[in-house]
Amino acid sequence: MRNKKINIQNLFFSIIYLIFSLIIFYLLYTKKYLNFVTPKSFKYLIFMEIIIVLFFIMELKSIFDITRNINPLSSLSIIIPLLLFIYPDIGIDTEHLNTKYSIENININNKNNTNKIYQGETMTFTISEENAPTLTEANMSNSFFEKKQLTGLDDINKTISISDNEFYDWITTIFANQNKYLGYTITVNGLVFKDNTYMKENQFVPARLLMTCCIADTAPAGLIANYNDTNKLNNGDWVKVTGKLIQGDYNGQKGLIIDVNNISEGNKPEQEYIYPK
Amino acid sequence: MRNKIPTYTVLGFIDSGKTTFINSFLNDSQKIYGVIQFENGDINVHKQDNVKILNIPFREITKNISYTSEKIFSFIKENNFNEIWIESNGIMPLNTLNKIFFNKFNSYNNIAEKLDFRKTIFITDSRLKSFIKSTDNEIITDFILNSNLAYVINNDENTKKLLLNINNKIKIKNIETIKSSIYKPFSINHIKPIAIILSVVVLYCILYYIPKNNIIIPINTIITLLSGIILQSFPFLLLGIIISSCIQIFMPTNFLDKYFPKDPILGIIFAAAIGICFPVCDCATIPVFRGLIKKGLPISSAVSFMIATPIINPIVILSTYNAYNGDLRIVFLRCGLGFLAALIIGLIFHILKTKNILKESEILSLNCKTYFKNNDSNIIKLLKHTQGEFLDVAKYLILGALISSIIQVYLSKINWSATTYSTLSSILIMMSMGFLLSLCSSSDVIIAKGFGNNFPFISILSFLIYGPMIDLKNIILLSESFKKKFIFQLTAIITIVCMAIILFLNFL
Repeated sequence: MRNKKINIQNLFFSIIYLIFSLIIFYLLYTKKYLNFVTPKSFKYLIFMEIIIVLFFIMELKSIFDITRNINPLSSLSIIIPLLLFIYPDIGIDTEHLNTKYSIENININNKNNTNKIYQGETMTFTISEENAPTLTEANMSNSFFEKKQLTGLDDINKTISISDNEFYDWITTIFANQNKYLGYTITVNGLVFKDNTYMKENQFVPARLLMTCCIADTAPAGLIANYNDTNKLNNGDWVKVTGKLIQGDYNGQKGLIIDVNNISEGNKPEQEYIYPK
Repeated sequence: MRNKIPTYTVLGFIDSGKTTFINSFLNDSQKIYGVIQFENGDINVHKQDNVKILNIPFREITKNISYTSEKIFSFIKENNFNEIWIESNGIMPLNTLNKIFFNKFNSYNNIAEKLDFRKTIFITDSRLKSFIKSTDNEIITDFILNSNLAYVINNDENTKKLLLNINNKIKIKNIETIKSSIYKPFSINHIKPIAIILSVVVLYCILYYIPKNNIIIPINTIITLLSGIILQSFPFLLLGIIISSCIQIFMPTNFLDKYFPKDPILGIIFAAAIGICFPVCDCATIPVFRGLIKKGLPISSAVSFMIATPIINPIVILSTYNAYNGDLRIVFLRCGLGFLAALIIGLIFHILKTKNILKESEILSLNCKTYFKNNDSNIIKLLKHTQGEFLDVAKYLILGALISSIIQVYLSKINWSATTYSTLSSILIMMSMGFLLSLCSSSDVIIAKGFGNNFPFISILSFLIYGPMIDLKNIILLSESFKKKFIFQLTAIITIVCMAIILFLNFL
């Protein structure tokens, strides 16, 4: 049905599709989508972008049509996400994470890792122990170094300075080779994660947040740190921690922890979240 | 050139009283009225001097549309009408009417340039329901969808409800108010949506300026969570809707009859097993479920498909396998029990013989006439159908995501380790957690592992099985097209079956 009059509704829909597709493009182009979802979502978002652009073209072609059966209120399905995506202050407060800090977090999606590092009594996942791949420390580290040579290691001075990009790889490596790295001094940048239900008063984690699927499932990961002035630190602040790796315990489990020598102000890495493969 | 002539279209099935209705408007002796009738009603229009009638029999249109167009054009040209009334019945589709009036085939350009189509009024009596149930319902549904006003002859409440079910924008008037509504230049219909959309924007602006680190309501955390869930699930929702639209448009009507197992039990097993080739999460399976139900798949099979897919699909298998460091036992437990539960639930629905689970408005759009016209090409049909369904469904997804992100923020404040729980209560806690958090089935393993330190494994397993099957977000998504009774039934059955399986396992 065609006449010369512009159908305001169709015009309106084509405009919001256009804005929506531009915003998705912006999120993808500036990599800001990584604040919400993982790099895995890139292809899905491209797919969505294509469909939305097709919707836009279709609506644009029909702005002279007379009839329209779609409830204009349905445009909220596009308008609300559109407004949400441009909200300036995105970011999640660490105290609202549903997954509390757990040694388990570091093992998430990492097949190369040995299953139980901390042998505690409170572990409930006893089922997995029998079937866990038995990897010796030697071939563990081999398989790691073959894959990716980690930087920042100084065997002579026994120091490890962990760069932001290698946080996850380093933490998993240290977890898997605890005897080897005992006594090393490490420097790591992370956000303060305190949890007074599991941790002692002088403990916190210089943590990074792992995102597996989307922001709703982020989980903190990192090494426990002993620091006497922990109560002076604020949850969620970025800190640079330097300290010696010593044998310690967390929530009844034995393992390596950082004995902090020095804390300075850290900075938020370019890529705030870690996306385990 | 003179102004366009105000034109009113009256639609309705035969003998619904359209002519009587039009007669009641032809009483201004100052005006010259033109009445174009596409039928011969029982009651003829009053033969007054200021009323000119053009009667067009249906068979004439079927022979030559251009001839009809020309006839109408000269009818309008020869008389100096102040007002034109068009009357058409349920034999002729709206599409044909459009073709006549917007015909560019003839040399006269089109008639529509002379006319100002102001209102379309649908007239009916209580027979509407039986008319819609008959095979020819598309024409009538199309009428209702394209009318601004409706007039129900004997004021029957059920008919009114049915009308609103089909087109919630339609204004139903009685004989006293319809006159003023017809002549009112701007319809109030447009104001309500505009007001709601504006208020959403205003609310957003308020949120924009509120202190961000609010302790009571952590707005930025909620918005971030919500955006994350939306960005994560929208592509999958779209994918699911495209699959479901393909089912609606391209799958031949007898396809399921031909290829789907006829034996109901075999059908349930088959439907549950298909899930293994659907790498989608629960947001995508619900539109597909709806599409399958509309295509006439037995409810028992469709339900077992919907329940099994989010658990046994490849992505979920892989993420579970990874999260538990390649522990196949957990993968088998999760997928096996999920599959078993889907079969049992499908069987229960088979025994219950549940019927009519779709809302009335959904039954009417069975043939997708609401989203596109018949003469659209297939790809446009697919796009329009996808768009229509997406817009309808996505707002429910957003609502579900909003509720679950708010719950997530407040649940995170609970200190789970403060008390120890019995097996039963920990199962209950984890199941309600799975229900309320409404996580995507491919990532819920992570959350489950986080709880692992405080809860026994059996309760984590209940979370992993029950969560993807039904949760708050799914219920809100389902409520878009299914009856409340069915959703309640489904939730109850899933909950009971999952509980039973988990408790039985615990007993072993």
